[in-house]
Formats: sequence, structure tokens, C-alpha cells
Amino acid sequence: MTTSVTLHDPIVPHPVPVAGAVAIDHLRKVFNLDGRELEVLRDISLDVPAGGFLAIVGASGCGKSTLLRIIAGLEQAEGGRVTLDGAPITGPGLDRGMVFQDHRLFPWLTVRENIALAFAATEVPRAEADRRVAEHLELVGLNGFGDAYPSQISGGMAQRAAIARALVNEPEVLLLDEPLGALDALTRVRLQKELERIWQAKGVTMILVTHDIDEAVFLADRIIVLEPRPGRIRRSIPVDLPHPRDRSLPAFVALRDDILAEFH
Amino acid sequence: MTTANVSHIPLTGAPIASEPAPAAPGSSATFRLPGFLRRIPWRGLLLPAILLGLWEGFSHSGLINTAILPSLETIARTLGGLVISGDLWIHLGASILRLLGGFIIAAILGLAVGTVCALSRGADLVLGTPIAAIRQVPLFGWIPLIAVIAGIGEASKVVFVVLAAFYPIVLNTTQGLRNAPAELVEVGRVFGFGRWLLLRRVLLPQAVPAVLTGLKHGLTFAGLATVSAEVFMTAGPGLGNLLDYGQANMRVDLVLIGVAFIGLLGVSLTSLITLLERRLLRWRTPNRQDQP
Repeated sequence: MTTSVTLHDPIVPHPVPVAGAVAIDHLRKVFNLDGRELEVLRDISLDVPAGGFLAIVGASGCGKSTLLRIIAGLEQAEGGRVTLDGAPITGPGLDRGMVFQDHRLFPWLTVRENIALAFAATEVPRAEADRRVAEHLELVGLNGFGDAYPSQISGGMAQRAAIARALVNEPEVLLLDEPLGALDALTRVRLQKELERIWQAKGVTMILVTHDIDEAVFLADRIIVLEPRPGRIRRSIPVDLPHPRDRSLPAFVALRDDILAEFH
Repeated sequence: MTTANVSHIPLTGAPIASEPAPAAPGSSATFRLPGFLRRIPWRGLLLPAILLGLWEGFSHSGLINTAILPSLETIARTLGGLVISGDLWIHLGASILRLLGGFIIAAILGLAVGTVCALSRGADLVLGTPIAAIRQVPLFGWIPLIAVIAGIGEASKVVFVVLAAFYPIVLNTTQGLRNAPAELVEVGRVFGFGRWLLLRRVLLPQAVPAVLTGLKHGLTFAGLATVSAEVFMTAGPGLGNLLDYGQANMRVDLVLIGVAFIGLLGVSLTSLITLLERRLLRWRTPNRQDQP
């Protein structure tokens, strides 16, 4: 029997993160509505260490998605600055991956082609891209579904594909904008476990925007509670619970209830 | 975690054939038509068959002037003559060339102009405004002008076909590109797509359904314009000339044969586009899997 060893194990467990530190410094964002200025974010300052998992929770309209979109480079701030490993963010870049609430897969491409789309603007050779696409199909549990079109798979599977697409470029930061918000409760719980596993396996910095406090406590090592109109940081709570987390532990429940109390 | 095999996904969306009902005991082998015959919609042919029967009856009854409604045999004999002399193929071939030539020129122009207008505000002002203005002139209003400038030869007819087919193609292309979902464009931006990649990987592919609609209508208009051009600008062969000649000489059989072949031509070209559509829009097949 041959003892050939594959040159690339798909996932190296617990790599030490060397990059992906996000620093937000006195950020201010204003929207212009028919000539009237509406302050969306006021004086937001926070640090996410490389390989950290930050969850941003808050009522709708608190500016949490806007904050994420500024980090993604899809929106410009009116004041303050955002840096990634010390370099200011001025626009979108392949060092940041993004998953939206709607999966946003291209309906005319197969799942595999959708994931490979992430390489379109890169110099990654075809063979290497194919290998990484296959590896990420496996990572999100979509083996065997690479040739299906988005219209042929369920919402949960589509969101897995979107996560694979955002990760396949090996970004330093993964930005998640309510990625599980549109899924049914059972699928959501399952994908939360998947995200926990992927975060631990990849060592990528994750920033998650959610209105699901349970989800935030389950995944994040720090939770920011935003207050609306204008969006400000009300509380920053560290979560010192070991992974994988058990939702029934008293410490879990206590923390969840503590944060939930902010909204009453 | 589901790791089901994908092979069971019906990618083509073809309905799964239902099991044939078991033959009732006692009844020996039931007669079944071969596959290609079963696909013919027999019931759809019922009404035309009845009408043809009535036609044949009337034309022999002496109640109707056969110069106005010739019998089916007369038409068949004329058709046979046209086939043997080769005249039919000359007329048909000339019409097909004219139609396709004009359509292809219109498609190239329409796609190019439509894309440029959708992408550039400036180009839209320069090109889009006159195009919209010219569109206000009814299509047939152009025939005298074209005929005066370029005569009633081949060039004039093709110009008229191009003019007719151009509008649906250019309008649908522009609209299709403009209606690109902002969400997908944003995905392109996240992946660092520049203008060219955005156009090639996002804007153009998402516009394919609209462009195909434009091409389909363009083809219909090209067919219409081909026959009209042949009827109004009578130099040279063509199915339209057959109609014109038949009318001028009270040869209703020729007119009917011309009409039938124009219809056949239209149906075959439309089904070609439908085939292309089915091939290009496979991804629309909705066949959801229920795994999370």
C-alpha cells in the first residue's frame, strides 16, 4: 500500500493569526437625506485583535450594518478612521471577505463557479484556484453540490456557499452582515456551530452584525451593544466562555440575559 | 450534516416520467405510437384538419369562385411546380438571407449601442435621444425615404430590416444592463472588480434574459420587415414578391403558398431562439433541495 501524503491538508487547526487586526478610531458617519443631515454613527472607537471574533448587536436602525459596510470599504466615513493592520481602509479589498444577509450568489453560475468568482480579479493560477474552491466546498459541507445552481439548493446551503465564497481568498477579516438572519431557526443553530468551527479552524478575524443576542454570545469573544439615533457604543462585553459553547451553561444564560436587559 | 450525492438533482428540470399504468389483465399488448409520433400534439391538429376538410368541400361545391378560393389540389400542383422549377427555393433563400443578414447587422449594432448607452451617460445623451426620436416615426414611414435614397434593390431592403430589428434589441439591451441588481454589483466591488470585470462578470450575464427577449422580438420584426420590404420594393426574388406577383395576377394559390412559407419561416426561427434561450437560461430551473 502506498503511503502518499497529500501536500496540503485542507485545514490547519488553530493557526496563530498574524494579521487581521481591525482598529476603529472616533468614527463618524452621516447620511444625507433630502438635504437634511442624519448622524448614523457617532464617535465609534474599538479594536478587534487579529483572529478575534467581535459581534455587534443593536436594534434595527442603530447603524450596525453601516459600520460593517465602512469596514468593508463599501461606504466612506465622514470622520475618524478605520485601519486593518495599521493601514487605513479606503475601499473594498481582498483582505476582507463579506457575507450578506441575502446570499447574493449569482444565479447564472453554479455553486463552484460562484465561489471561484472570488479569484476573478486575482493572479491566482487556475489549478490553485480550483484546489482552493474544492477545499472550501468541503469546509462548508457542500461536497457534491458544486455543480448545482443557486435555484436548486436551499437557503441554508446557499448561505454556506456564500461563506465559502467569502473565505476562499483567505482574507484576514470576514465580515458577516446578519448572515443567518433569513434562515429558519434549526438551520440557523446548525450554521452557528459551523461558523464556530470555521473560525477556530481558519484563525480569521470575524466581525458579525446580528440582532440575535443568543448568536452573539454563542460565537463572539467580545460583544458591542450599539444604541440607535445616532449609533453609539453603549456597552462592550467580553465573553470568556470556552469553545465549543454550551447554551445551557449558567454563565451563558446569565450573559445572554444581561445583554437582553439592555433592550428593555 | 448532509453530504448527499448530487446526482439526484434533476438539473434539466425535465419532469420525471410517470410509470406507465399496468395493462389490465386479459388485454393483450396495447398499441403505442413510437416516441416521435407521440410528441405531435394530435389534438392541436384537429381544428386545422376540420377547416381544411371544409375548404376542400366548398371549393368543389361550386358555391365559391375557385379563383378566390382555389382547391387544395390546385395549390398542391402549383407548389409542386414551384419546387421542381426551383423557384420556391430561390424565393425562400432570398428571404432567409435578407432576414438573417438584416437581423445579424441589427443585433451587432443593437448590442453595441445598447451597451454603450447603458454604461455611459454621455453616450446615452448623444445616441439615445436621436434613437428615441427616430423611433417615433412609424416603421413603414421610412420606406419611401429609403427607396428614394437607395432605390428598391437589395441594400434598401436590408436597411429596412435592420431598422425594424434594431429597436427591440437596443431597448432591451439598455434596460437589461441598467436594471442590474445593486446587490450583485456590490459583490463584484467586494471582490475588487474593476469596470471591465464588472461588465463581463456581472452586468452582461445578468442582462442575458433581457437581451434574449430583445433578440426574439428583433427576429419577429426582421421577419415582418423582410416580407414588407419585398412587397413594397419589388425588385428581385423573395417570398414577399411571390405574394405581390400572386396578387397582381389573381393567383390566390401563389399568395397562399407564400403566406404558408412565411409562417413556417417565422416558426422555425422563433424555435431556434427558444432553443438558445433554454440552453443559456438553464440556471432558471427552480428545483430546491430541502437540506439546510
